[in-house]
Formats: sequence, structure tokens, C-alpha cells
Amino acid sequence: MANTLLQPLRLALVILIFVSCGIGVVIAQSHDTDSILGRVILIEPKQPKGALKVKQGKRVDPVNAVEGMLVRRGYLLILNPTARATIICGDGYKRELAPGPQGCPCTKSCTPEVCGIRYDGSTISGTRGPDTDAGLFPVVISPRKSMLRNLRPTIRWAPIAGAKDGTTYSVILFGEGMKVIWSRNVVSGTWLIYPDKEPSLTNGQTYKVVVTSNGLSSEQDHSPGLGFTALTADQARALADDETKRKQLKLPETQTRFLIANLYAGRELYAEAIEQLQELHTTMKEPALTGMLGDLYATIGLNREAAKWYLETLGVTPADDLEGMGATQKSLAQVYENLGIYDKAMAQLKEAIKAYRRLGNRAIVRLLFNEERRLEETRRRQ
Amino acid sequence: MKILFLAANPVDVVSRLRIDEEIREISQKIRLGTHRDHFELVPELAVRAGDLQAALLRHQPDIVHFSGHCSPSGGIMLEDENGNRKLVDREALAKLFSILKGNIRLVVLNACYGNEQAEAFANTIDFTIGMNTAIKDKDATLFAVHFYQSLAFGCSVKEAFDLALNQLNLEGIDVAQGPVLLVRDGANAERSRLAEPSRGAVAGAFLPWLLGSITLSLTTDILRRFLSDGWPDIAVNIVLSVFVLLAIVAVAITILSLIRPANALVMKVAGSRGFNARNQRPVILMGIGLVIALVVWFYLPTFARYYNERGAEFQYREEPDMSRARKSYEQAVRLMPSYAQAHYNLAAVQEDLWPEKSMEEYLLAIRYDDHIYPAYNNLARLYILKGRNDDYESALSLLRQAEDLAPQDENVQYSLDKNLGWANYALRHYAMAELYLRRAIALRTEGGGAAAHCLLAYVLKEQGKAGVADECFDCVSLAPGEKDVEAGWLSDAQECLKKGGGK
Repeated sequence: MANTLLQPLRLALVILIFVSCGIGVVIAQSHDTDSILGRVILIEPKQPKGALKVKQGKRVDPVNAVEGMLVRRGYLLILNPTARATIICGDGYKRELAPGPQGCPCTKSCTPEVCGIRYDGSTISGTRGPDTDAGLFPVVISPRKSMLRNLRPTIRWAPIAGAKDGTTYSVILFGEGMKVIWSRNVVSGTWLIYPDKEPSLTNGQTYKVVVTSNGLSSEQDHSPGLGFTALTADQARALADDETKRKQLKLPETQTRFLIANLYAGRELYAEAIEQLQELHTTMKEPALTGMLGDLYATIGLNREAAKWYLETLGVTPADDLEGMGATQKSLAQVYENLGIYDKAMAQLKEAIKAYRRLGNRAIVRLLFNEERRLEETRRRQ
Repeated sequence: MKILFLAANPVDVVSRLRIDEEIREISQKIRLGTHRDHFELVPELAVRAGDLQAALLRHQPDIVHFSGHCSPSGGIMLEDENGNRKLVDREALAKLFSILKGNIRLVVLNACYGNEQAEAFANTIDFTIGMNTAIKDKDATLFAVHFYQSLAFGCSVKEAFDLALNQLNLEGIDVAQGPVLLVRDGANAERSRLAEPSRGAVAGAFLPWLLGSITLSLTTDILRRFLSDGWPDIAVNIVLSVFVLLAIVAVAITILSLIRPANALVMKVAGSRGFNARNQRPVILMGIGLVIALVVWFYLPTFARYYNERGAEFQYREEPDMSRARKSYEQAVRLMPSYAQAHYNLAAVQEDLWPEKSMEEYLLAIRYDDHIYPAYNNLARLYILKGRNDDYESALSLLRQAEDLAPQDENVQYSLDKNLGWANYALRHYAMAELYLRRAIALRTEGGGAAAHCLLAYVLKEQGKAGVADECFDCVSLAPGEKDVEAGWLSDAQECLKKGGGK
């Protein structure tokens, strides 16, 4: 009896405490920018679609998951009882999903080595670089701004405008202290492999490729850090160990190679990651792969290439995958800004804000509003 | 009480002394005394000057008795290599006694003209007896015999001296110029009874016993804490009780011996030990034992911490070994029963297997550290899981206690609010439950709080409110990695999602 009488009093007291503490406002569920936990790596069967659905927010419809899709904390994964799906977490281990609704089984934030260099949802640090479509001078495409494991790399460059058969390119490899290590003239081609007969590059050393033709030089690209550094022997060993771990997951070959490309990207082996992903692209057309190529090109300052891949990504991402669309639009906006195409950049940014708003991800929406203000400012100054 | 009987009877002195007779008489009279056991007569005959130091050093006497001749000019006569007289310098002898005073309380110079020498001792020795003039051998013996007889019957020095003089009077001997008693400033001849043991000596005799029994008690306690896993508890407790009792008796007797050294009980217990405080070996050995035991005993908390950490290693390694973790925690609390963290850990590892034991351990953890919030939380959870109204009330009371301590850590606050919501929900106080759960969720601005969402889904459903599906969504989607989500809540929330949510 006494308890019944006390109950309303106690309730009133608690309400008073709540209000006085200013905690009366119950904040809606928000996602932090580090809340990506893992990646969907395998869905079986692949057809018909919808074996695994992902509900990215309470107020949005579930979308059909595709392989490579990133999963945030707070997403609801709904696996069809007849299907099988595997998630790879930041620790590099896979988890099988149980049938029915569930959260992402990974418990810690993902790592770039598994979830890609854009994994945290923030804008990648794309830098300004030359417009490879313009062809004002030869542009070294690979290796640039990268670590490198292969001590006999493939060297690629973009041709100069109006290049005809017979255009000669002079390829020079500089070592530390800008000492010429090796050079070769190439007629008509835009790639070559550092030859076997030459002494291999040295672990831990930094190099730079310069391509010249008709008095034009790749050195006209003034963006910083255009060289590349060969992995040290220890780094190479650690990488090999992690590669072996990925192989031991016993996933199909395409998925394994995709994960290894991811591993390369996470270790700044951008040139090799790009090479691997471009080979994979012939068989795997998922937005995760094209999006990662966009991220890699943006990272090494080849914005035109990055934009191409991001646009392809938007083309293959289902319209209701708001997270996928939003993340790509955000990155594309950055790349357009780097290329000085501000209208397009602003348009993409607005689309991204729309997507994250629908998802209810206030943290990223706030971030994007700041980006929008900054972009507006930059455009005014130009 | 050791009497060193020094005698010198030089051949070149006309009057020969009957020293053997004096020794025999004194010895006989002491044997008649009630305190005979406290006297030991050690004769050193034909003493030469060179023997003095060695005799004092070797015997460490309490009483020095000199029987021989003194020179009228002062100073005693000892013997040389040929047995002839050799006068010992008065000042030199006084100096020797001041250096080797040790336990000496009384010096009796039973020789003619001993008074001069006695005066030289008076500054160093408590009581000195000397002769003013020449005294006959027979009279001197009579005096000495009766003096020691009185001491052996427990008389004070003054009483013994007066009785000895009285005996001379009774025999018709003029004592006007005879023996004199000199008392050092600060000493009291009326109250000093040499037959009674001194406080220091008696207490000293009990010291090894005292140290030994404390050492044994401590050692048994230490062994019990380290080894009692597997030992029959009752046997260990009996042994320990006996040693503790011994130690208490030892302390009591030692205190008694300090207050009343001549107490009959003390004397009886001391028995044959004879208050030999000079034998320091047992004291040193027992002292070392006690120091070692004390050091180990003081380090028990360090050992306890080691076992607690070991338990955590077993518990949190990649493949946890809960059995070894539990044993390590048990060892930690045995070593340090007031170790709240170890009680908490022990409770946590046996929560699923033995919830009742686990609850006891949580209560101990709270008793020893009332700020160990997780213990309140976990204990409250166990109460709630018991599923009775009384238990819900207990849980609520515990959580309120923890809340009153105003924890600052956000995770603790979350956990408390969530469990307060849970307990209120169990008691059907739905409005209260909702408030607490929403407050818990508000604390999880970085996401998470699956358990609070799961519970809120129930609470909203019971109240017929909207939003059940949303809470089910958060419960299921945020559950992985959150250890406080009960399996039943999760499956209910999954069902709720499958059905399209709630109401």
C-alpha cells in the first residue's frame, strides 16, 4: 500500500531530476563516423537478389545487399533462411550470418585493410593533380604516390595530346638524391615493365619515374610526393603473412583477390591495388570494387580517373542503397572540387546530404553541411 | 642470582683465613632459604689480580663477594704467582667494576678495612658492604653467613644487613666499628630484595616464548591462506586456534611478569628456565622467524594481487580457462579477504554456474568497496533473474544505493539506469522504467545501448505505446558485442521484427 502511494512521488522526483539535469531530450540514434564494422564478402546464392537484405535505418526500406557492401553499427541484416552470407570484420576474420534479422556480428571498428581507404565514411584526402584527359604533358599513372612491393614494377603513363604512332617517350627512373638509375626510350607505347636484366629495386628505397616527350615532362605535374617507396623486407614479410591469412579464409578466388587488393590499399600499395582491382573488374562489377578504384585514383591525385570510377559506381549502386550512394557522391564531390568543377561538386554534395538525411545519420550530415559551406566559400574565391 | 665468591688468602699474611669454612657455611645457609633456587654460589679461590677481569667476564655475577684481606690504606689484597700478597690499587679496582658492572648489584668486601674500597664502589654499584676496621675471621664469616641467609629468605638488602649485624650483637660482638652498608644514590636498600627476580630478567625469559608463539600463529595463518585449498578447514582452524591461544597466554604472562615479576604464577610457569635472560640465542632465532613471518604476512596483499591478475589472464585470454581463473580468484580472496576486486572477479566467473555463490561474492565486494559499481549492477541483475518480487525490490534498492554514490563514468551511469529500468519493468512500474531506459539510451550518444532498447521495447509494449518496432530494431541491430543483452530479449526482439513490430 505504502509502495503504491510512494510510486507517483518517486516518478515525479525522477522527472524533476531529468529536467533539472537537462537530459529531457532523448537524442535520436545517431551513427558516428567510425561506426563501419565490416564488409559483406559473400552471398550465396547470388541470384535471385535479396538473399541478404540490409536495413540501413529505421525509417528506410531494406536494400538488397551486394558483395563488398560496407556495414555500419546499427544496420539490421536480414538473411533469408535458405541463403548463406559471410561478413569480414576489421580483424581480417570472417563471420557467418545466422538466418533472420541481426546486427553486424563484428564488434570493433573496421580497418582500411578490410573496409577500404574510405571505410570510415569521411572524405578521402584526395589531392589536386593533372587532368589526364587534357594531355598537356605526359602524366605518370603508375607507380605514383605509393608504396610498392614489386621490385620490378610496371610503369604506366598517360600520353600527351595528339600523340601519334611513333611518338617517343623517354622514361627515366630516379633514385634517392635524384640520381638517375635507369632510362629507356619507348616508341608509341604508354607502359613498360622494369626489365629483368636490370638490378632490382632496393627494399626501403624511394624512387621516382619521370617521362618526357617532345620537350614536355611529367615533372610539370607539381603535386607533391609523386615518387614511390619499395617496402622494407619486414614490411614485405608482414604483407605476405596477411595475404596468406586472407587466402586461408577459403573464400572464392574473386573475393580473396578483392580482399587482397583491399589489404594493398590499406598498406598504401596503391599501384598494386589498382592493378589487382582493374584485373578483377573484368569479372566483378560490384560498386565496392569500382568505388575503391575511385578512392585509389583520388588518393594518388588522378582526379579525372577517380571521377570516371565514381560515376561508374553510382551507375551500379542500387538507388535505395542510400549509404552506398551517399558515400560515393561525397567522394565524387571532392574529386570534382579538385578538378575545379564546382557546380558538379556542389550538386553531388547536396545529393549526398539528402541520402544521409534519409538515413538519419546526423553526424555525417553535419560534416557534409560544413563541407558545403567550405565549398561555397572556395567557389566564391575562384 | 649468581654470587661470585672471590677469595685470596696470601701465605705471607700471618693470620690465615678459613675461607673454605665461609663458603661451606654460606652455601648451607642459602640452601635453607625459601628462595634458594635463585642463588648460585660460584667460588674463585686464590684469586690473582690477573684473574679478576676473566672471572667477572666469565660469570657475569649479580653479587660479588670478596673474602680476604684489605690494606689499612685501602685496597684489597690478592695473591701473586707465589701465593704472596699483592695489593690491588683501590681506584683501579673501582674502575674495573665500573667497566664490567653488568648485572652486579651488590659487592660484599668481607675483609678488614674494606670500607675504603667500598666507598670507591659506591658510585657505581647499588649496594656495597665493607668493614670499617679490622674484623676477626670468625666474625666476618658469621656476618656473611647470616647476611646471605636473610637474602635467601627474601629479605631486602637493608633487612639482611641489619639482621647480620644483629646476629653479631647477639653473639656479643661489638659492631660499632664493624660492617657498613653503602647505598648508591637512587638505589633503595629497604625495598631491594635480591631473591626476587628483576622485571627485565623475567620478561626476558618469556620473550622467546612470546615471539615463538606469535611466529607460529602467523606462519599457520599464512600457510592456511596459501594451502587451505584441499586442507580440511576444521583441522587448520583448530591448529591455528591453539597457536593463537598460546600467543595470547604468552602475551598475558609477559605483561604479568613485567608488572609483578615475583608473582607465583609467573614463577611457576618460568620454572626451570630460571629467568636466564642472558641466553640470547632463542630470542634472536625467534625474532628472525617473526620478522620473516611478518614480512610474508605484510606482503599477502601483493600475492593476492598477483593471483587476481593471473585469474584475469586466464579469463580474458583468447581461449578462456574459467576453471583456472576461478581458482586464482579464490586464492586471491583467501590471501586477502578484504580484496573487493578479487571478490568481484570471482563472482563474475561463477555467475552462470553458481549464481548463489556469485551473489555472496558480489555482496563481499560491495562490503569492502562501496564504489565498485559493476558489483551493484551485476548483483542487481542476479536478483532480477531470480524472478520474485522481493528480489526485484532488493535489486532496486541496490541500484539506488549505487546511484546515490553518483558515479561519474558514463558507462556506469548507463548500466545503472538500464538496470533501474529493468527492475522497475519487472515490478511493473512502467512509467519509471521508461524514464530510466530513455535516460540510459540518451547516454549512448555514440550508438549502442542495445539492452536498454530491448527493455524499452517491452516497456512500450506493456504501456500500449508506439515505437516498439524501432526499439526492437535497435535491440537487434546493436546487440552484437554487447554483453548485457539477455538471450531472451534478443529473440523476442527478432520475433517482433519478423512480425513487423510490437503492438
